[in-house]
Amino acid sequence: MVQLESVCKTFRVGPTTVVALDNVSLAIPRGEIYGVIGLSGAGKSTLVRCINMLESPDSGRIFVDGVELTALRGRALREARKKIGMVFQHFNLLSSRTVFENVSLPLEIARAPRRERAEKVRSLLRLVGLDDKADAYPSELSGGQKQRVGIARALANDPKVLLCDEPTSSLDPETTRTILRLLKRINADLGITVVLITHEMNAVKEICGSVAVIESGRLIEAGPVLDVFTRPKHRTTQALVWGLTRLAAPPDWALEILAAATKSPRKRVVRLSFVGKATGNPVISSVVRDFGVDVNILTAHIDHIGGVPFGTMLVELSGEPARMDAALAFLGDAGARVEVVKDSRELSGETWTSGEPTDACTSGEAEGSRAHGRGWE
Amino acid sequence: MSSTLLFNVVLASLGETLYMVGASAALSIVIGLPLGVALVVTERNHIMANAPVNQVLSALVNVGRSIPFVILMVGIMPFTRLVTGTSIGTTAAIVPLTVAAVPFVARVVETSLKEVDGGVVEAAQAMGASPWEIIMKVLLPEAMPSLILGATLTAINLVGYSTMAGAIGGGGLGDLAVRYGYQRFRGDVMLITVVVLVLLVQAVQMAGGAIARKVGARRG
Repeated sequence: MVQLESVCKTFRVGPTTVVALDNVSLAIPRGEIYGVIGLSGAGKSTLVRCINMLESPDSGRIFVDGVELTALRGRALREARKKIGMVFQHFNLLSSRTVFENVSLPLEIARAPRRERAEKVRSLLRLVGLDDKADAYPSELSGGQKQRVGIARALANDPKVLLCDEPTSSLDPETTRTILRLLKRINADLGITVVLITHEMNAVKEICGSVAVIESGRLIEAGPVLDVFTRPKHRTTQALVWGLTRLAAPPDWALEILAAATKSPRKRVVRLSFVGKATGNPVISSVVRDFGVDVNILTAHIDHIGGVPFGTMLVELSGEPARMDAALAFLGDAGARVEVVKDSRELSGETWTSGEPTDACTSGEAEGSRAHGRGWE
Repeated sequence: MSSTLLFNVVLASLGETLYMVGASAALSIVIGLPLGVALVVTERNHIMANAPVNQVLSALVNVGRSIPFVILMVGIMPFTRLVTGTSIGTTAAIVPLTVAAVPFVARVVETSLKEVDGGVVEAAQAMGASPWEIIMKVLLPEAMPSLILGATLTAINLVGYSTMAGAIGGGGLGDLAVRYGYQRFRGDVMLITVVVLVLLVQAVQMAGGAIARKVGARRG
């Protein structure tokens, strides 16, 4: 549905050039809720703004529903944009218009007849649960209500794609959940492809099927949410996931245990990740019983992604080195991902790599961060 | 001069002032509004970015605003004669008043439109709105309370300018104050004219403020 091919975008800030998108290629399938996550300044907003050409890329091509937007100008581009809805972090509603008139604006621009507009606006306001607020002005609404108006407005011209640029970032957690649920319902009921830009892993976890991770303008990891979350490959992704599973900042005593463990051959600190069925098996007690290895759980977190449970656990093992090796092999066979932690920085996620610049944007080399080219296990 | 006569003279002068200010305010808004819009939309990164046009317009506006009104009034006399057929009188004064107010209006409009949140313009662009639609449906309506205050400011400025219109026989309250109050040492006439001018400015300001409040009432 949405396809980016080697998209590069640089901004000039005074004398320096900032690379916002560095040779990004991405394919978003029809009907998907696709998350794009990254820290602020990573380039994710630029990415979504390139999809409807609010920013035109320096090089590369962008396709939406088979149409190459990067080849369009003027009226043709405006026509294409009518089929791409956009939802903004700060809502961007017109203060001079009522809720009804705000939702009506895209229909006016599409030259829909008055009666048709009124009907469409009414049904959209029902969809987002704001039929009683039609005559209110945006200033009279709460943040969550404003965003629902924003979503209704974005849906006015029956778009094929809904671009959401940090739609919940200025909302409280409870409102965030209702907005995310609304997006999910729209995706399910109307079959609209949703691109969700966010810096909150929770938002991705809650509604996205796939996710792309952006850092310093480059796509560093992409794939189904479950895979990315349970087996994050890149340091940044790991840090983001650990943040979600509350392992980002281990308590001081865990760090002390780690420091002691690294000095003793009889102790090891291990991170165990389980996905799906493996979370149901009593592997820890097996390790204790069958291998004679003591297990001290330092931190643990069990979560669900799309109904599939996954867990991460930080444990201290103590026992004979050979027995511990056997226990770890057993855990691996049982479906857990086993990482022996040697450095406290591996726990806190402080060692985010900023990555080597590829220079692809300046030299035109097509070598780069293609989404699925990194080999998933 | 009897009090009745004085009353009639002041009334006639007030009428001339209202005529000059009303006509020139209307005309300068008709010309200055599109100019102000052009100043904004041709800016870098705006919906019709065009640096050369923007620079030329901006320079013209600055030239217009730097010429003292008395000089302008006399300087454009040939142009005034071309437009109105005469270079003296109340109607003739409307031409230099308008010419002086147009650049002012353009800057006031520019300032008002720049207050409109860029995100709203972006939202309209994302909907596929054309530059014309963005101007008519987004920029102007969103800036309306501020534009009304700008028009009020323009009208009050024009009241001030119009007091100099006596130099080309335009009449009005300012002319009355100079000829009767100052040159004939009639302190009472001076006082009355000044009071009437103060009241006029007050009335314009209050009316403008009230309309702006009404338009922006529920916008928050």
